[in-house]
Amino acid sequence: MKENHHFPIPKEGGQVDFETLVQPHLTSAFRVAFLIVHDYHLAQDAVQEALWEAYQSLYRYDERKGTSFRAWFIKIVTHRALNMVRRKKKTEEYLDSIDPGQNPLESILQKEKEQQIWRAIQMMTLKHRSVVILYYYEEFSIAEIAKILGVFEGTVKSRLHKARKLIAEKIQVNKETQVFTEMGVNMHD
Amino acid sequence: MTNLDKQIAQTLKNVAGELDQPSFVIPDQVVAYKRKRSRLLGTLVLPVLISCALLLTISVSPTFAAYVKSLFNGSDKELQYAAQEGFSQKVNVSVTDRGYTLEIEEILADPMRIVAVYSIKDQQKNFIHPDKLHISNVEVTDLKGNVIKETKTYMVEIQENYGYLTLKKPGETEDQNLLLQFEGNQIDSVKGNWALQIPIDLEKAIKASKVLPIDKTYTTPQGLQINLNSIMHSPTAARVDYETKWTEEAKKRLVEESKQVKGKLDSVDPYVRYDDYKLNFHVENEKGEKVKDLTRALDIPRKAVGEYGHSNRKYGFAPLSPDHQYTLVLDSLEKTEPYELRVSFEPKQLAEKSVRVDEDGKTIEIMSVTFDEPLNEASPKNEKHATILLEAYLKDISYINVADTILMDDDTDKIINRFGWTIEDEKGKIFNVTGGDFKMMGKDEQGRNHIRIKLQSDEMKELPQKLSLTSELAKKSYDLDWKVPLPMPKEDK
Repeated sequence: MKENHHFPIPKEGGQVDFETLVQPHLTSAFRVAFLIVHDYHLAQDAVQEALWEAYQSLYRYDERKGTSFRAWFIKIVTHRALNMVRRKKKTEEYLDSIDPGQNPLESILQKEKEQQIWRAIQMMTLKHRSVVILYYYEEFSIAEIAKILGVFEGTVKSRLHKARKLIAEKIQVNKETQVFTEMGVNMHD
Repeated sequence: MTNLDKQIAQTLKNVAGELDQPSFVIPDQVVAYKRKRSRLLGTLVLPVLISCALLLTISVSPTFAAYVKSLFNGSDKELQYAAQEGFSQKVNVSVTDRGYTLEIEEILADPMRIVAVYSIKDQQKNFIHPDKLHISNVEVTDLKGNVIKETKTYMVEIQENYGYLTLKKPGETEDQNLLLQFEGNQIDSVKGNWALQIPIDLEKAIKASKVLPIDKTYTTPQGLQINLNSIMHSPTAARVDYETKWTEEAKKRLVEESKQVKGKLDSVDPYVRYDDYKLNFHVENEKGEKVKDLTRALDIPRKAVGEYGHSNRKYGFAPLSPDHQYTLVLDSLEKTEPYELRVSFEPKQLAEKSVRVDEDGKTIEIMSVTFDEPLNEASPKNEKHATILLEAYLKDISYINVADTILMDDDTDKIINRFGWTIEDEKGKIFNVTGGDFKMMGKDEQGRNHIRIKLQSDEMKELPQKLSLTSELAKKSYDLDWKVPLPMPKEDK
């Protein structure tokens, strides 16, 4: 393997090695990947592939263009994770395969509302879920998310709006179900 | 930020915050790897040796051999079996606050996992649903209070009135006596403090756990060398530890393969897929009956030992019965490699019927070319995208890379397609694949995999007279048949 000749150009001059650049973002990258794919091993694969890709494409990254390394790296991780889900199964089928009752992580979320929120996020389409994760977990700005996902800012806003609505509806449905259950009435769709 | 916004953010932080980060190979370390190797091997091998030594000497609380009414009787068979064999410990440690009592009733601990059963009761001794407890802290420490890092990840499964708290892999430590810290700060809507500290005595479970050497080596025809190092038998599971690395010849072949893929960027070293493989195993008894696979349940990530795909891996399965003889069977190697599938057709023909090509036992059928909504997140959304629907019937191929790496170029905001399909018209113009979809449909009557693929490009504005499609990479499965008898622990008389 040849040495890497395409390090980014840091503000202060001099070269920065790849490990120094990427190490602070690995935990966050893995968690973003996990939140997208819901699978420990696939998330691990997504980040490992992203590391290779980032390493090989590092010459493309130039912080003087105003993009943080974190945003640039998370962009690659996000696309890798999205690829993983698509590769695993067709999206609809993948969503069908998620059984909220069987998800161990869900049980970590002790508050009922948090469980409902996590369920709603799991059941969303990939495009809504990825926006939610990048906005609420990684706290990227709308503009940054637009750049990461390659969509217009307006699209990010509308997806966030839709995602919030889906979550709010899920909470509402559960509330109603509870009320009916307490009254001893079975609900049928 | 609204209240809902805060709750969404908190939920994601709670989910992600519980994850232990796996190990990664940092590409930059490859150059320095040779220098670091001895130190790296030292850090990886030492804990293994410690845990092996520990397991061969190990022992849990001595009084539960005849424990029958275990709360594990309603859980997974592996746990039921371990409880029936007397490995669960009745605990009955409780704490009461604000009228609620939190009690840990029983614990099952071995080198693979710790499972604690808890319940909540109100003042009238009525059970409260276990998910009403907001768990604020779970950790396992040694007797000095040092946290065993591996146990920071836990999960809770609810069965009727009981919560089953599972912590994985307590084998990081040498200590046989550990403490489970279990704390809650809210039950239903009542805030309070419920903190329990439960001693765990691993002595008996560790004594019953054995690491036995296997020391068998096999090199697949593809050049992947597999060393089966050992098997660990514990009361709740069994696990084979193995190591994989490519032969020197195979490494050269992988480098050559990486040069064959057309999508690589000119200025960058080719991406050699040293890590892009998977081995499929199963364990069966002398009657050919398969043993339950627990790899996922035990959450066993691989550990990279170094570059070139050299890694330590584990395969986990249900505990083996001393009444049978077992064999580990290596079924197949799945490997991503160059794969050229090529078909040319005239889109106009599709108005009448699909275009089907049969060649060398492969069948590819172009179903339609339409202009649809984009399938890919990164694709521009303002126009329809040419979408080619094709079906293929292929032996041994489980995945064909559609547009595997979708990398946005910051300068031009264009999508760079690497390692995917190439779409070309009659004049040689290439349309990049900007999105796609892959679905495994099942097997056909010849036993071939039936695959459905959608390829999309936003660069094709109208239908060309002729189109050629060429694939670049695929995941190919190679059947293997390596069988290794698994050593069983000798029963203590």
